[in-house]
Amino acid sequence: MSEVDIEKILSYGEKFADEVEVFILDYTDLSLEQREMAVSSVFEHVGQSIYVRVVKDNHIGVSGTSDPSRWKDCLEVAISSAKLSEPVTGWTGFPEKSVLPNGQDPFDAKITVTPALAAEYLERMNAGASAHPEARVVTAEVSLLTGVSTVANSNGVHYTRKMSDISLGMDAISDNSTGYDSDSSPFLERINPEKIGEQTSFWATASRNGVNVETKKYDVVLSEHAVESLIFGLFSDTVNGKNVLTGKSVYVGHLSEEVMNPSVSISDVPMDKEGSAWKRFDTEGTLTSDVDIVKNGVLSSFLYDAKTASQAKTISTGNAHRSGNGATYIAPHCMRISAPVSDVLEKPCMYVREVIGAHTANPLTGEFSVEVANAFFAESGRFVQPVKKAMISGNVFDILRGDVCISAETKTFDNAVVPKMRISGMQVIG
Amino acid sequence: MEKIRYYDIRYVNGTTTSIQTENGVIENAGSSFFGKAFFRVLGENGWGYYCASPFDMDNKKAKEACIQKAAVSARLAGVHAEIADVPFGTPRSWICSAKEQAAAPLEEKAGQLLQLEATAKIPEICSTSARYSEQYQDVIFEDCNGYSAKSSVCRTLFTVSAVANRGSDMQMNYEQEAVVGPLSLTDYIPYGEKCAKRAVELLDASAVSGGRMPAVLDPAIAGVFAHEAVGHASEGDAIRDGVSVLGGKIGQRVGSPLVTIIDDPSMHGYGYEPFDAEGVAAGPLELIRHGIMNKYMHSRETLAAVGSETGEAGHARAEPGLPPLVRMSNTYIKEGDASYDEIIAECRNGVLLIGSRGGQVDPGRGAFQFNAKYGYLIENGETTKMIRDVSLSGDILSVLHNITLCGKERKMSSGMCGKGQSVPVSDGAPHVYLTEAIVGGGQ
Repeated sequence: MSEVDIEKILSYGEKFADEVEVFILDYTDLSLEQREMAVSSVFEHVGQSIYVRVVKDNHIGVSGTSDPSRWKDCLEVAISSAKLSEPVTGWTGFPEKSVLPNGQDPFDAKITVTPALAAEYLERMNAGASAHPEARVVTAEVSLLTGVSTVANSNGVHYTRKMSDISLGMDAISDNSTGYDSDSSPFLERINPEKIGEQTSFWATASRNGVNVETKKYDVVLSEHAVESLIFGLFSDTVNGKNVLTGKSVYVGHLSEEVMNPSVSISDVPMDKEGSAWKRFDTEGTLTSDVDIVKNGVLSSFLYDAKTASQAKTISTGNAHRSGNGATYIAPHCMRISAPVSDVLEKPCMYVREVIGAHTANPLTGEFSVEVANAFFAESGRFVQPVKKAMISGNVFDILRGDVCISAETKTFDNAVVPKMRISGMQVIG
Repeated sequence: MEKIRYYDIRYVNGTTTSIQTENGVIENAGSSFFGKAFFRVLGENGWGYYCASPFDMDNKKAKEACIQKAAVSARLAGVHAEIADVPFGTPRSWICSAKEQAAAPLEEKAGQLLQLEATAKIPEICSTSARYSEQYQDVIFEDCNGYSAKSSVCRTLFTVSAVANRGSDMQMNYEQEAVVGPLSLTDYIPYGEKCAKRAVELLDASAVSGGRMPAVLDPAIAGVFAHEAVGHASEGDAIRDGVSVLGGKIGQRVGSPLVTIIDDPSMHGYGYEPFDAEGVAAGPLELIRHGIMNKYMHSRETLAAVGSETGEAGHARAEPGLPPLVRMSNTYIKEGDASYDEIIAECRNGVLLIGSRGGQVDPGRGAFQFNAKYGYLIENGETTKMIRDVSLSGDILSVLHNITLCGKERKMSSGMCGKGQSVPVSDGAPHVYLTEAIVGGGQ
């Protein structure tokens, strides 16, 4: 891996631009894939990416490459790109140097990129799966990653973040019933491989012999997975500052208005103890802080990066992430929802573990109709009968305006900590 | 030295140039570039992979070192694998490197994109955007037996989208064209207006009441059915692993005699590949022939595992720097002999679903779901009210048996397919009539 002289790039770039920013990602990862209950392949990857952004007369240009030795080419492309882009109205500049607040990076020294660690977790996942022997484990994977990201700019910002990650996934089948579970975390102790294995084989076996469903309205409980993919995914797009600026959000013009049930609040908590992100600064070097997006049902804030914040005449909320070409995109770091908590599975309901096709929901209107997977009729906290096949349909925004009820228990995803959610009178098509 | 039974190297050198416009201004424009070498070694008991980026393919010592790294990884594997000995074929030599397009100034393309986007600015449209991208990838494939192949492929696409707004109601539409080779934006200037008009029409569309009913699928959504429901379930890895409802069905009837479904990497569609990620140049493969399961798509490994009589290799594809997976390329339902009017009349009362907003499948369970951009009610054999937010789900085998008419004209649509990795594909079909489908809607 070549050493990149960041100061050299910044000072060279300043000859041609008003501001220069360099973002570098160094990483090593390793993954073990399993088939037939044994390791079928081992993949090691060592990589480095460098992204350069420049600003000249409020025009922003960007370029990226996987070859750090070509940083000069990258800089030249970014400068050419800036000439073509429209000037950013109200551009206030890349972030200035600040004192970073105390806090830990999402890094765990116990995660070492070694086959031995990956093999241990694969074995433990398999041990968990054996709890339901009628399920056949089809494939499983363990991935380990460590790396460092660095953001530096000509305003004096130069921050580094150490990263680690362990990701596990497994799928199983029993007759024609499938099960899948996965988890990932920057911290080894938060991963429970036996539970992932047990849950995978449980969903495959428990979902067999499902019953047909009558088309009508049911009380439905969405699992943490279903809430994350269907509700949080669409809501994140709606409060994305870029979508708001370009008129691609139903929340345009509704700031300070009630958009949800007053019992519901949604916030982004970058350093949430239960979260996986732990970002003290975003990928532009803006310091992060908690953002109340919806407070007591009232829309309080959108999420911004430096560019969209300038255009909206506000300040960045520190929600810049970095895409493959080096441009920033906006996303939450760790979204949380608060709403009345209850035992959501106590009263009779249809429980939906997974939905197929969550990405086909209408991002503007919130309308969705998706297929369910691993669904059950449940009551008194127990699964009574698996559902053979059904679709659920509704509107994400209507759900959040209604009587939302969530579980106390949560699951941590990459950018959210998510509870189960109970929804009254949802249309189910059998 | 580690025991090496086989190795290959796939090096991809690529450049992607893109332009994004929003509401009449250039949001960003620029390029990124990369070079990634993927080393794959088959040891005694499985595979070892190593990816190096950047990498110099002329550096023999570095090559040897990377092969050894992959070989060390392969030693840790414990599932014996074989690769079928197949003819490599002749790499397709369709010239699609689009040198003239690459040489044209970015400013010129940006101007054309703005012009295209501007045509979407019609009354009730509150937001427009457009994106243009050209991607050049030069591939070098080498294996331990001295075989090598090279290709140079350009893929170009544009997307234009429009948001319509009336009171508190908002609706969105997008139009896209994606091709292998060059694409002249000036030929597509009217697409902006076409896109916007549909978004405005959607403001007046109704939600549909879901349930089981007859349905007509237009070529775009029927193509997604061919891809999602049949294609994924015909991939050799799903067959090998026993997680496809189409597994073990070669020679058996799986659908109506009208159904013939083909995957063809040699077709000049968005999924075109001169040769696959294992160096094999494949041609058209009939997955289902007249309703009978005919062949599965394979990599060399899955062909060896499942049996050479079950299909053909040449269907392994990979993102740069990642391992080959069994994937589709250009997948379609073959034309029938029914006219559009005959199909609508035969349906009598049901829905016509048009365009695709994507879909997903669980091949093990045989369940699929996909969403239409919009549609129309069919009442008394005629299309009537426009409908929106309508989706289709079902189980693969039932739907294949429910196809009773296929239209005369096939159209292909382009997009990306995600299966752990994202690769360009196209899919298509003629209009298709299903006697019963599960239709989801918000009413």
